[in-house]
Amino acid sequence: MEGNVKLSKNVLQMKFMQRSVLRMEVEQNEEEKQKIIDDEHWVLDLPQLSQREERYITQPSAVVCENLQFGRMSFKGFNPEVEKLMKLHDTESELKQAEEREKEIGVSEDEMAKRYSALVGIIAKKFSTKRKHQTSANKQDDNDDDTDSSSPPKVRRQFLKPDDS
Amino acid sequence: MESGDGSSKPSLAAMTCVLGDLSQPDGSAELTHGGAVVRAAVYGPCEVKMSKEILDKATIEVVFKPKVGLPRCEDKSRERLIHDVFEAAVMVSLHPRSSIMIVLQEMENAEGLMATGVNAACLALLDAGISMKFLVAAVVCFVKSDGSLDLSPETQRGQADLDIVASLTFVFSEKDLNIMCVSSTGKYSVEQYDSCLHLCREASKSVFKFFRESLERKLSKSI
Amino acid sequence: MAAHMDRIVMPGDKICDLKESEATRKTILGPGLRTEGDCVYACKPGVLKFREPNVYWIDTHQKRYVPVKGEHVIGIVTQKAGDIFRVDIGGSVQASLSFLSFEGSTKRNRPDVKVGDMLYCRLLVANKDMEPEVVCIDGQGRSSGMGVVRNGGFLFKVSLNLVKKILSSSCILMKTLGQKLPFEVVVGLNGRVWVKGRSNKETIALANAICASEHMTNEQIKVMCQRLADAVAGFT
Repeated sequence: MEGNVKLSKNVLQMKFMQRSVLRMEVEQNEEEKQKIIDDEHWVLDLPQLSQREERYITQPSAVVCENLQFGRMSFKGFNPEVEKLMKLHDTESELKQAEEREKEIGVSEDEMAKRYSALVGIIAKKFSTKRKHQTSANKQDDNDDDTDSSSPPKVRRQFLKPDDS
Repeated sequence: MESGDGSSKPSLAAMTCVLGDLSQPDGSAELTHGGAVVRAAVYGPCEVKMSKEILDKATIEVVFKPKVGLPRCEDKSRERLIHDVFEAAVMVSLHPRSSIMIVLQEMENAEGLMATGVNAACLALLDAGISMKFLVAAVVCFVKSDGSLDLSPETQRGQADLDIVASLTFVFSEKDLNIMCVSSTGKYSVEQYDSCLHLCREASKSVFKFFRESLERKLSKSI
Repeated sequence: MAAHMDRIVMPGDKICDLKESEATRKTILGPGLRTEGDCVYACKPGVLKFREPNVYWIDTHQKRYVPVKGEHVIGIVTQKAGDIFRVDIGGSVQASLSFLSFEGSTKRNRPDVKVGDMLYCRLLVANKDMEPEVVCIDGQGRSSGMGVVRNGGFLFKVSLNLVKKILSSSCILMKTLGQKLPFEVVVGLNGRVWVKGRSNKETIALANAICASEHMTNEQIKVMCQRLADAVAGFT
């Protein structure tokens, strides 16, 4: 932290500085160790291997690809337990489908946020008059004026006498 | 495939095949090409004997059964050649420590049985749905005593055989039509070899086309 | 995308112009497709299928099952060895099944499983280099339809295509049969199907109907189911 500030020996010898002295020693040791390690490692001067982005995802299961149903079924109350399970699977898949449909039609959160962030500026402009628009640009300059925001430009436009002194 | 009036180039005999008619194996095919008929069955990937297990790839086992009697030397050599061809064509690394077994049964013998065997095995592998890198097709070419070349001699047994001085079997991969294997018997010149190779390479295209058509016919049922 | 759909491909065919998802710029490749560098090749003969938005796979006619992680299969217990069972699932090697992977089983409370029992289970480990492992519980420790299937019925083997056809949401076979008869069915993705009807006759009729439907269209299936229902009604 105080890397560039060198403390004098006398200061460091004081009792309340002992902890700092210890810490500095540890740091120095680490540095030396690192240096030794670096010296021992040979590094080829090659450009770093870039992680190639894979365009394809392999999916070995046909169940996922073809969207297959669960393989246990029962009909007309032959095995009530299985029928209960089937109903559960059905509602689940319906929900999933509905969700997918919504995703397709609807707008994702990212898109929404992006859209809004762009819109905020545009809509704000719509509500502000031209004059206000100008003032908002100049606001910083005339912050210190006590008069209300519409007057300063008028003041500016006054004829300024050249001083002849 | 223009069929043979004397002036045209030598052409392949007609091929017919039946796919998947055996219920027990995972894939099967019966291929008739000219006078030769071979039935092929494929099992796998299934369990492998400890002694034949290979740690990083599937073991391809080929059994060639003659029409009568015990397998002889020539059958064993055919087995070896077919094994080597399919070890390259099948994606063996997908199924380590398992076995893919190809059983070939000679039904009708004729010159060029080896080529029919390779083609039948390829069809059976396709029928079984085993992953392959590319298709392979074998074509046999005969050199006759008068120096002419023929792809499909008349095979009334014992009649035309005397006329043949050499026979060359080429196996091609569908990728770039590269040679995968050549097996030959008899005496022939380098020029004859080259013209045989050229002839067979052209003919292999129609074999690949035949493979496609056969599979399309089979798969059109399931669409 | 019409050019891609339902085209017959052969091993070694290069497949170009795959559609990728708009958000992630990725394409999902299902069974039968492999990549070599940036290209995609088919490695099985079959029909190239596509599902929105970016899923491709090859529909192959196959009889032999190759275990895939997460799939539900029908297994048969062949051996009991200490803490694990050996289960035949039709793959190249038998799968292992720990006695703890049943609903509610503990070290003390062992599940009631005997050699020869039929199980409906899920593949937990399916890797070409490792022995497959199956379990009879889901991630929450519930059985959710898996476990030993008992009380008669009839188990038979069909092609893997038929199994996928039965389970696809576009196939009406099971729904139509279900309207005609009360029955129960278990379909394993390894090509094994178990059915049970009210009587043996009905069970056999159902099994025949399932086998016969392999190359049928939905219309033909409807007609067949009607005829089957009439015939079964005639029996009793």
